[in-house]
Amino acid sequence: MSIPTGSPLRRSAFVRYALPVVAVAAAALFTLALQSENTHVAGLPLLFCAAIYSAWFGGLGPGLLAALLSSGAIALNLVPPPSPGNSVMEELPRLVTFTIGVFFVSWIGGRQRQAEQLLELARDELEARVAERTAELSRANRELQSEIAERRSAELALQTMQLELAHVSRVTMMGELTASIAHEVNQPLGAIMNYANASRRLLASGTENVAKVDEALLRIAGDAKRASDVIARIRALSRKKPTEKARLTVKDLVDEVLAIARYEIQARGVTVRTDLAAGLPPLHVDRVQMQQVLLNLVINSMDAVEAQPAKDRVIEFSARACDSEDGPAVVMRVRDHGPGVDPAEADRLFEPFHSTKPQGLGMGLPISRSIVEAHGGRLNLVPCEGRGAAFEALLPAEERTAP
Amino acid sequence: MSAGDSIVYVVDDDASSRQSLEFLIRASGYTVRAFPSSKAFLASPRPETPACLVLDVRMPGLTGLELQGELAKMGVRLPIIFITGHGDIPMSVQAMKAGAVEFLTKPFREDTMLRAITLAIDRDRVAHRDRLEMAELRRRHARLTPREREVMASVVTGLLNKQVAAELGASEKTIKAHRGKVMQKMEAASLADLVRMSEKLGADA
Repeated sequence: MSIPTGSPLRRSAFVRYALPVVAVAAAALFTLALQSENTHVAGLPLLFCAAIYSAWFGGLGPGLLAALLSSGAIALNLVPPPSPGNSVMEELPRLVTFTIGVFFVSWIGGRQRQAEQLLELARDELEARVAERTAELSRANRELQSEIAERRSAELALQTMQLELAHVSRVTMMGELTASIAHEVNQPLGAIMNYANASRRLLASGTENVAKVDEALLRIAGDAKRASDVIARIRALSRKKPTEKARLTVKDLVDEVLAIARYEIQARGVTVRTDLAAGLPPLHVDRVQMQQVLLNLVINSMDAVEAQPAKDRVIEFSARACDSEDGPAVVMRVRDHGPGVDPAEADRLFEPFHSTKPQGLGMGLPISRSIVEAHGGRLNLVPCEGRGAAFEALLPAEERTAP
Repeated sequence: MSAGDSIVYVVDDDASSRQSLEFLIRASGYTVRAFPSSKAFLASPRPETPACLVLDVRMPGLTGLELQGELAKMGVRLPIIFITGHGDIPMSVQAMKAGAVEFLTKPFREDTMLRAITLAIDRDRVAHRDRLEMAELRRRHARLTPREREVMASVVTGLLNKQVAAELGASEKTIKAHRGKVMQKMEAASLADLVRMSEKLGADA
């Protein structure tokens, strides 16, 4: 890409060589026009100007052409010689000097032109490089943009994957609680059957029992509500849905988790002791995900104490408020009195697919930890006095509000 | 309903289950006393009357099976109907071997449950009669003096007054007087009656 420098006319050879002819002719005509009987006008200065102009404009060739034309014009007496009366031979040294002068001016002009051209070239090159660099930068920018977009979509995909994984692990966990769930639904259903059968008996034996039948119907409604609550809870746990944080009290959370696992806890002859500090600040968490974390800890603890004698089949579930570096927080602790965690295993506990149980997937703890961390908290195995293992989940709490 | 003065005890930790059972059994004309735990049941006084126990197998604290064992250890022979959330064959075998009347899986048919209760109460009514008789015999036996008990023990083996007198180192006349007192205090119509009573007391002692 060339940026035009100076007049484009200068580039054309025809113009460069036509100019000396025109200039010399013009100088000669002008000199002749001024010539009269009694005034002698020397043609040389104007011709000299024409030659220098030609040399400057067109370079060495046009300059010399102008000098030759001027010399010719003087020699042929078309233009009056500088000193009238001198012969051509006498004028020769003057014409030679004149030609050398023109040659010299042409040479300087040429050098200047060359310098100009170099400058132009350098400028062109600079501009080309600037353009190239700009193109490079915009390409880099485009690449960066696409990388950012890629990264963003990868992050989104990761989040989706984590949700999927959490869901799968939740469903797996619920598989372990099938007996518990069936029991929780069967209890109120059995009760409803009892009330219905009793009511039929009461009605069969006479209508004076209407008040009793009414009572039975009331209780049927209550038990139906209980059964549907259980199903709603289980459905919420098994559903796959995006994170949805809400304000929750620690007590509600713990009560729900223990309600879901209640039968399992009993069936395994485990005692759960809860110790929730008074006045705990509320949490801002996803209910289902947090239930998953706590259920997972409780199930792990149950597995840990299963082989213990009855007096050691104890799980302690406690919560206390604390101040973390990020503000108020709640620490929930699940501690068992099982064999404890082998120190060599402790580091690998939160690694995916690492399980100490024969049927374990090894996903429970890593997923629990990722859930807690996504809530801005921490989940760790913590040292505890005596036998057993203790896990603590620290979760940021909402500011304590005045009751 | 021929429920009479019989009592059905219900022990179940689940409130829905317990209350509905209580309602159903009461609607069938029985007196019901329900407890949320084995401990609460053991702590409450039980009048001497025909009764049975409807017992949940799985409970926190003392389980149903453990309560069955505990009652057996205490010598309380209360007919037990077990109920459980989901059938567990080894558990039901253990329960039946230990003398349970029935092992029902929730949800059960109400007529199955009520039939089991009727059967259990009938069984306990017979036992109840025996228990009353035993208590009466023991009360009578407790009225005997130590000497009269010795005489009774010898007489029921078939010895004559003279032989008893020789064995106990007393006169035949004294033994005869003791024997009369024994027959009177034990309210025995004949020697055969006294022998039967002695056997019962002996078996129980």
